[in-house]
Amino acid sequence: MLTRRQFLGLSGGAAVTGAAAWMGLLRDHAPSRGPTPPGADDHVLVVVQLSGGNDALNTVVPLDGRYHDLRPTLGLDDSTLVPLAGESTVGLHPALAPLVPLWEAGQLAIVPDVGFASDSRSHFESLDVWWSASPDHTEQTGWLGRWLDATDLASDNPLVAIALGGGAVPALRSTRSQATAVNDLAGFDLKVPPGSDRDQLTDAFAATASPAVSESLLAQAQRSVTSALRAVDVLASTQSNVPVEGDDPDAAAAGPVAAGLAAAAKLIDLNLGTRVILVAAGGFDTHANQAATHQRLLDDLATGVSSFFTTLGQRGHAERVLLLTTSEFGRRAAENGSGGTDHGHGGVQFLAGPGARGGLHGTVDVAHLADGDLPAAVDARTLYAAALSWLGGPTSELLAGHRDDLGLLTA
Amino acid sequence: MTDRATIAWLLRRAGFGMAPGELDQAVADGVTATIDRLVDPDGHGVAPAPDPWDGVDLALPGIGPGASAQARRAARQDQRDKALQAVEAWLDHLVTTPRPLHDWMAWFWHGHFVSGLDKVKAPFLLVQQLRTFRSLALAPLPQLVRAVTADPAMLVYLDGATSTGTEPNENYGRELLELFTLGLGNYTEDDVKAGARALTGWTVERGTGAARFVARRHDATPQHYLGADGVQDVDSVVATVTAHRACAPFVAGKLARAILGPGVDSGLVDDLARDYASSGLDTRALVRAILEAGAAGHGTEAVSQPVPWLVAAQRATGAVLPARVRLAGLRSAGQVPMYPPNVAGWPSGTSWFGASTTVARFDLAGAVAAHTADANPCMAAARAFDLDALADALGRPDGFTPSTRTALAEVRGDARAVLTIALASPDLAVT
Repeated sequence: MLTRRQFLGLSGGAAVTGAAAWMGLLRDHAPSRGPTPPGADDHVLVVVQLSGGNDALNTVVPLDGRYHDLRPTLGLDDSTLVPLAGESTVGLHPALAPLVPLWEAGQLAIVPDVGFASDSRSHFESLDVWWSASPDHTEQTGWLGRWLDATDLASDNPLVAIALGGGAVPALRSTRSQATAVNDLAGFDLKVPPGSDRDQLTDAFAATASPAVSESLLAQAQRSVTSALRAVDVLASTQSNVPVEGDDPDAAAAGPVAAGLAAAAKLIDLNLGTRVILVAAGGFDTHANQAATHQRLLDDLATGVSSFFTTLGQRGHAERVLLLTTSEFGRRAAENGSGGTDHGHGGVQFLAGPGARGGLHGTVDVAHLADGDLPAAVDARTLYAAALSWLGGPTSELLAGHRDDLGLLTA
Repeated sequence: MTDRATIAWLLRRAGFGMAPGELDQAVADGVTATIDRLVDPDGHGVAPAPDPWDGVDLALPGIGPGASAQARRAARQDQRDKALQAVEAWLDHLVTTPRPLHDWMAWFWHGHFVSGLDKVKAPFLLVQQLRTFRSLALAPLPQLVRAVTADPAMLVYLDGATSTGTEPNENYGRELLELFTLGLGNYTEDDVKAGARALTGWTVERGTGAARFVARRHDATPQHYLGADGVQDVDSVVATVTAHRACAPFVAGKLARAILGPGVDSGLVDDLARDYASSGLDTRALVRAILEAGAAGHGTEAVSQPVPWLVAAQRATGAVLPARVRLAGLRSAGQVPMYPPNVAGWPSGTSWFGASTTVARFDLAGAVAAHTADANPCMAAARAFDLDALADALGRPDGFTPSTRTALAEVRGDARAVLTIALASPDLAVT
């Protein structure tokens, strides 16, 4: 009988990792495709989803008195803003200071007024549109799932696309491909009770998946066993250096973005053929007492992104990685009575990395609000088109014809 | 379906599975009597369920606004510790409850009228909300919506507590319409704003955690709301929302899909919704009709979410898990009670087939098997390698799939391994 390790195409040994594991997967599962070695040079896209609707106006702040009229208590004092060299119309939230080196290296693109033309202020409607890139709901798949289907890279390697932290997986929904969703990389391992035979137990678990049944949900449950076991074999050994949240969150150094990006850097460094990584973080729905919360969230974002590129640079991967932020909407321009902001429309997003064309690609204009909101003047698919061209393969044909009209990548 | 399979289905879908002997007893009672006991336990001699948090210390932090940073930090830690005890107490209760449908409904409402401790912080407030869900589990919907709208945990979670007449906060007013009662497309942005105004004035008292209405914080201007005029307070908002034509289909559809599975026939859902509307949103009658439809064979495949799956595993095996193991496992699986991911609650469907959840099921299955007593019928069947008896004891009288039987044969002779693989199998990942 086939053992699980043979079934999964992995050679024996306790710590099968990296290229060896990849080559094992490739050898046993894609022989007809020809063994393309994992691209140590392939471009990687990392999407950081800021769930809840990040407040654009307190992220990239206009140097305009009308801003303070809209935000009498929540407005950030001009003197506290982080100045951007060569850019006199906006400053960054003080917590974003760690992004300055990226800006000065010309590797931080800031895009204001991003969104979709639909006017829904619902989290879930907006998220659905952002994930599918389909404001009229004609697409059932995610924008990255369509790329996975079109390139066929993920049909044999579930680690081509990995979602960390849960939450943004619908962006990876596809018709044929598999993605791997890991809530918490630190706890991602098969735990076997003392006295049990680990290999025997996991072999038996793998065997529950075949022969496949025809019932739809049961068949999907079977496939989840197979792909989870593959992912465990490769990923379980990566956990040693991932920041783990301590018992006391006050003392925990890393927030969800920083922890997710640290794990992402590790995955990229392992050269598992991973091309797309989603990192999800929540808490941006700041209806009340926004100031302290937003400070903490942006601090996590900025320190996370900054250390991510530092780590990638040290390991020689920075040149092939592009980071894109997404968030379902921006927030109302005027603050509410709870020291917070309600759901709005246009948001601000970042592209970062050596491939990004640094600069402010647009204006933050509080003089021309649309129904009390920043407008969604830039279709989010413009950013998606840049992201997909970074990955290579089809772009505008997966995005209803939308292209990167802003030129968000270096040539 | 045999009556045994039908009754096992009822106990899985409208409860948390079955303890040893529970299925035999229900089969002896018959399908009709089982539905009666589930839906109307008071009228059928079922023992009252104890309060899940009886004896659990849920005291609110005794610090004021001027407290030192150190005192605030200690208070936060104290509330986090109490929160974990509150979660544990609820899980323990679900495993042993004599009124599974009532507690299943409380779990359903927790995932529908969502509040979470990530924002509410104080477990006392969330426990009070869950106590409301338990006592109004099958109450007419308007009564439940009224209670939720002025519920302290909800006032914190969706910011009603800071919403004032001069500057209303739209958070609750929006989700009330979008997620709780009507669904997208049945209201306008103006309705969201009007509802937010009419619902202003409610606060939560710091010392007691009670909801309090403060007239000077309230905007009593009559609002035009969902086509009605003169809406100006919580009662008129609730009356208007629950009288809206979209309310019965929205709530009945969600409940029908939760019990009968996502593939339930849409004509059946329409019929259930129509009867729900004409009954004045009598949830008890709706649930009875849903269970009768399921017993008549209208159920479809559904995914087992991690909490109901684990509770059913513990109910069948009698295993008691260390708190740390259980909470770490559920956290990896992506479902910790009282910590929903967002205001829409936990996702349904195949997102529970992600790698983390699958691995966590395996890990938790091993922990359950490790803590199952030798005398438990599941363990006895695993030891004797009687797979039909094992499947039946786990609530699957129709047996395991051939692939799972083959897999179990690989670990024959190791009873704990047999039980682990059975619990972790794809068979039990769907219900």
